Amino acid sequence: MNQFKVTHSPFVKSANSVNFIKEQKLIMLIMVFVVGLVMTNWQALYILGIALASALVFELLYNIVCYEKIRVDFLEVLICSITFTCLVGYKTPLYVPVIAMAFSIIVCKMVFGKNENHIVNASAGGALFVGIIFSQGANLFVRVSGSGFMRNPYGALLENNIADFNIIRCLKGQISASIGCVCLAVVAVALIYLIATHSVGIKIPIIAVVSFVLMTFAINQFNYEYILPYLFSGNFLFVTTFMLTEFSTSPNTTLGQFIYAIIFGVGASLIIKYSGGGDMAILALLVCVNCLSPLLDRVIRPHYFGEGANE
Amino acid sequence: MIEALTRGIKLGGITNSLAKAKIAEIKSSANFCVPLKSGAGSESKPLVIVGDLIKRGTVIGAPSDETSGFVYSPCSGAVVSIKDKVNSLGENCLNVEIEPAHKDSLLYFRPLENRDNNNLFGRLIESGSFDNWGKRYPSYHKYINPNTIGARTLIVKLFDSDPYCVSNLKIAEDYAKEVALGALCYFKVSVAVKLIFVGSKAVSKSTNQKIYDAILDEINKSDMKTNQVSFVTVSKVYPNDEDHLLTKKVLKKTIAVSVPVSDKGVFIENAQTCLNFYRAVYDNLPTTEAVYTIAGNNLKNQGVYLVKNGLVPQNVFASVDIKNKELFKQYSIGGTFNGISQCDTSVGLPLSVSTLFSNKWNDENFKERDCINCGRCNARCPIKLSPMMIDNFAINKDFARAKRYGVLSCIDCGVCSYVCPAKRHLSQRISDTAQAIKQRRTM
Ligand code: SF4
Ligand code: SF4
Repeated sequence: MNQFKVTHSPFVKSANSVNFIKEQKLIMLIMVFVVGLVMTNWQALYILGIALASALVFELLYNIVCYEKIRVDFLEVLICSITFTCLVGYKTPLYVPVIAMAFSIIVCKMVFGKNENHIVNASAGGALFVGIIFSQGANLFVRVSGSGFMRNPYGALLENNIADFNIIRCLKGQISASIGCVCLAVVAVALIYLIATHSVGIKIPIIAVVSFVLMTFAINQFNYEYILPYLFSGNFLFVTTFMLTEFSTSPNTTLGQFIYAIIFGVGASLIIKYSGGGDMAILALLVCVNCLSPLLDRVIRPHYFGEGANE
Repeated sequence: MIEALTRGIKLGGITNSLAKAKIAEIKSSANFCVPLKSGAGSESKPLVIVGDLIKRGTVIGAPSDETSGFVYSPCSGAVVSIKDKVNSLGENCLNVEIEPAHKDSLLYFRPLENRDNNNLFGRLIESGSFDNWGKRYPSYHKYINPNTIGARTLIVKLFDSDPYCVSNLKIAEDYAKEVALGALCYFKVSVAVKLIFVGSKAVSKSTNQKIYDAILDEINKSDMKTNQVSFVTVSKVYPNDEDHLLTKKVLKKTIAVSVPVSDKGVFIENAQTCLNFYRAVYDNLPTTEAVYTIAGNNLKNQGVYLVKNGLVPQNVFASVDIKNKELFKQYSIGGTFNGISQCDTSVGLPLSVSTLFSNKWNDENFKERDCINCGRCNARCPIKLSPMMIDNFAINKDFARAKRYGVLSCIDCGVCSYVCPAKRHLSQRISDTAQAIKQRRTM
């Protein structure tokens, strides 16, 4: 560093670094996972262990084969495997995480993207892939209930009687669901924490939730009683907190973020209305809006200050 | 440190300790190294040779064209060398090294007989008072620019938006009367019809009021109509004091960044240049010193200091009590976000900047990572550019698209580099690309 340097000042930089952002996300994911673990079954630890080990192996293999480097981004691998584990039920067969992680790391993260920049959320891609191949696609857009490895009890709840919905039970985690979604209070806390530490942007989650609420209100004959059951239905809140907000798969202009979040919010509400809140369908929607994001970035070019002003 | 949800950046904390600082003088008996170029204007011609004995205020450099100015000796002494070397802003130019004498005697300008426009204009040229280096024009150049159109407004900044710099505020507090009279001189020279003083909301209302009252006192004594003068306060968001942004905030007028605001009849000066002009006109003093804010967490006595032209940083640092000498291998000059990072502590400090900054070294700030597409740079860029996209174009040398995305409108504020969590050197590459495009244009 002793050579003469003439550059813009590197002395003052925001303390918010990439690692800081990832660490905050990881801490919140661990918190959500641990709560899910306590409320469901310790068996979920096996799923995480296998997901983590396979993610590590696949990332290492890929880097060795393609770049001839022994290199692993531990934070990314941890985030990807915990997110995937949170999306499934504890009864998931143990070979499923291996296949999902192979798809996540090799296809979503590395083939269709590069280190920090991929097109679709890796965990969503992996979960959707195994969802499709192991439920023969049948569950994709239909009501999911019962004991499949991606169960959605809220869908079933909605099927019966809206009056049965009990928000306290949702918040306390007394309703069975995928590991990350059993206790939605903790997911809501994680969202607030991540926004407060600037680890996720504020616009996307807020707009997604607001458009989701408005759409729910509109499609249920303006009956506000449906809003909370919808909001706490399935993995909408979890996906919004940890996946929709992922920087690399979301647009980077304000208008793009608005469109992206509105499509997701509105779409998720329609999915819950017409498919009973299928987790898989929401993941499919997420993958679709992720794919839309590069397009939005390409099409929307914000006008800069003084552009077109009399020169 | 709190970042507001606005474009640009708002930091709290550092100014609290600087706010109490008083303007102090730096005493040094070491040799001065006066650069004959301290901005993007041309280099001045040397008027002395090695061995000349000179007094403080002796002209040692004269304008070589209309974008260069007079340079005066900051002390009495002997010229020991005139060498071509890099100045503190990284540009090659002649540097006059002066060994100070024990006794300092001063050369004044001849007193002005009357202060009409023409004489004032002559004195302005003589004074060697430069604009803030960021605008890269000697002050007087804009007043004779034939492009100038429209009703003329003179804006005087009584603040710096850089949170680590309080030089203008301190001058306004301590020399309100002189700043008012200097501003009136500029008002005459610019044939303006409106004079607006701009303060910052970062300081208390009572402090601003005190400054405004003192200025108004002087204005009332002059022949100026009170309805020609107004006071405005703007929030302290960096880089609010950039000419185009300030014009937008104060006059609600959008001027393309590629056009100097002076071409549209808006002249912007700060408290420092007003004080310099006042001293040249009323005290007959050539400009030989500037008020610097010397700040950063590597300094025991950070504060506001009078720095003579050509003082070398190693002596400045010795006088302000540094914490860790090793860390002074790197410091920055001319702004904490967009200043020049320097390693050489023997280059002369110019009068065209007002910040010398040294923070503890952090290697992490240099390690670039891949962009994570967080969009923070887009959200904070005060010009609403898309730094991440332009950076991509810059890396791929796609100048046509970089231009379409407004690279030439970048004001070099450094906000994008500051907020980037991946520590990408955005503003550096963007400004290099803009330079390259401009050079190709002139080829
Ligand atoms: S692109 Fe230019 S104007 Fe925008 S934040 Fe970066 S340095 Fe400032
Ligand atoms: S702030 Fe940095 S990491 Fe974020 S989008 Fe801009 S360049 Fe990429």
